[in-house]
Amino acid sequence: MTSPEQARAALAEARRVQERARRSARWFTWFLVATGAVSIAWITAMEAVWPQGRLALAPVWAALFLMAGFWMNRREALPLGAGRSLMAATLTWFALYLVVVGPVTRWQWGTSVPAWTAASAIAALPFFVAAWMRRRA
Amino acid sequence: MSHPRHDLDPIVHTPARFSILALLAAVDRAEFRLVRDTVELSDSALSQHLTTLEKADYVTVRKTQTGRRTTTWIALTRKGRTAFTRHVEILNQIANTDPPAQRAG
Repeated sequence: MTSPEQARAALAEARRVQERARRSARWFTWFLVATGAVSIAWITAMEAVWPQGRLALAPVWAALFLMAGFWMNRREALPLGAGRSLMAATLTWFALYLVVVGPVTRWQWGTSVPAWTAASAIAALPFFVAAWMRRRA
Repeated sequence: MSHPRHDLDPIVHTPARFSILALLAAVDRAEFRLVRDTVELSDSALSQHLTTLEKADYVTVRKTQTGRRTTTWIALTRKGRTAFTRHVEILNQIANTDPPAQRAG
């Protein structure tokens, strides 16, 4: 038997647990922001500060990704669509860096630190946009 | 016309299982301890409910090893999400139903 009162109570309980779950998944927004910030530092370091050390920095980036994966696996909850969101942001960032921002900056400004900081900030926009969209949702 | 309560899914209708599915519907996946603490169940009670939900193909349970620690991830399947959404729709219908007018004596 389910009365209107029981149905309302069940729906209220559903809202309570869902709010708790969403709170536990909020870390992902900040994770996207941190990934964007780290990518700016990494690209600037690799292209402007220490361009001859590109090969040495690549394993550092791989290690960071691995650590981020471990860290994500230690969170209590993964928000809806997180994998898709991260994948889309990463692919767009990589395409921007590899095809558009990277070649243009290298060609026009060489190893200028301010130019690479600005360029890597543009390339990191997908991470910040993804974080902003999550914050709004 | 039959009362909407007849359409309620008996697997979802149990309060604990309804809460578990509600929590999982809000995320991609949740860790066992989060579900246990939020729904306020013991480890064994949660495991029993998860077995029932897994048999109905409403959830998937996956264990991962991170270093020395084993993490149990629980996620809603497409079938489970559909069943939960349908259940909530019916509950909303019931919640919006006015109780039958009492006959004057």
